[in-house]
Amino acid sequence: MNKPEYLHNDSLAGAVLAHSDEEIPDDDLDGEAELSNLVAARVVGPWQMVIKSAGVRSVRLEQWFSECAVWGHEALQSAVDIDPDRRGGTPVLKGTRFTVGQTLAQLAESAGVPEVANRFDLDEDTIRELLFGLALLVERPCR
Amino acid sequence: MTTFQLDQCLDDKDLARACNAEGKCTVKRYPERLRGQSDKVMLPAVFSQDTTLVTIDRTIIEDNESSIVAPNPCIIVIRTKKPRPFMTASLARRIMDRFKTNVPSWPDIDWSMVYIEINNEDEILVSPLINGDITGGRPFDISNERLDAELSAYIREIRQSLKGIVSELPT
Repeated sequence: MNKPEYLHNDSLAGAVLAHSDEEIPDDDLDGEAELSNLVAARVVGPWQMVIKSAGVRSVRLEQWFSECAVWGHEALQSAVDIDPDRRGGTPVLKGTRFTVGQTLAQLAESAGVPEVANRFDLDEDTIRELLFGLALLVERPCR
Repeated sequence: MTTFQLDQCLDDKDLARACNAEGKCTVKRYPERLRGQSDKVMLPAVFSQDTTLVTIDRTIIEDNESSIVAPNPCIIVIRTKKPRPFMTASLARRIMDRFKTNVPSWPDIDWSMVYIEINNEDEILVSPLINGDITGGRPFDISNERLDAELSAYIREIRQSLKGIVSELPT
């Protein structure tokens, strides 16, 4: 699966980060704090700086959650079929008549993916992709 | 000996093995060639084999009224009455075991042209299966002591009433 580059280049989040005057290294929180303090002391008032840094952090998080959603949808698209002529349109594992809901219920009372795949002759990788997709989609705060 | 065809949603190796081991019927697992096929392809293919379809697809009739042709071998739907517990193969097996215990003559009954719905709260709905209309069915209580006799009699009644409609119906 390719990394969705457009999120970095074209999205609002990407644009804000790429053109920010105070470019902050992703993995350097100390550097970020130091830079923030420097800017706060020399350029803007303390309250303005708090609002500005909160804005940048929020954009970063939104970018992260957007990527999660894109990857999650991509995973589900490769693992799930929704066909009105099969099981009445209830989402099913790709190429089967086995619903997503039933897959989860079977997993809940099994020892794991290999057991369910073996019992019902289902593809292990498809079940795992379904689970990763769902994991990515639900991994976000409520706000 | 009646042959039952498991739908893919109930295509459990353990279930098929256990049922076949009883020696009272033949249970077929879901055919490879029908995997991922639409209901409209799957149903005629199963019917053409003269096998009774056993499924946990609770909306199979409503979704496929036009594919329910007459004569047909029967559809058995195992379901839960409420959303919880969620239907799984092991729950379906418990429901079927209870039905088989309380209807000991099940291997001898001719199920063709019959729709049966069995749920986890001991309720059974039996209806003629002609064109997807199952609203005229009759409910039974699985714990009724006379269930076996009453169910068999009702199925005979259904068959009698269908004779005029479906000429190919075996006697």
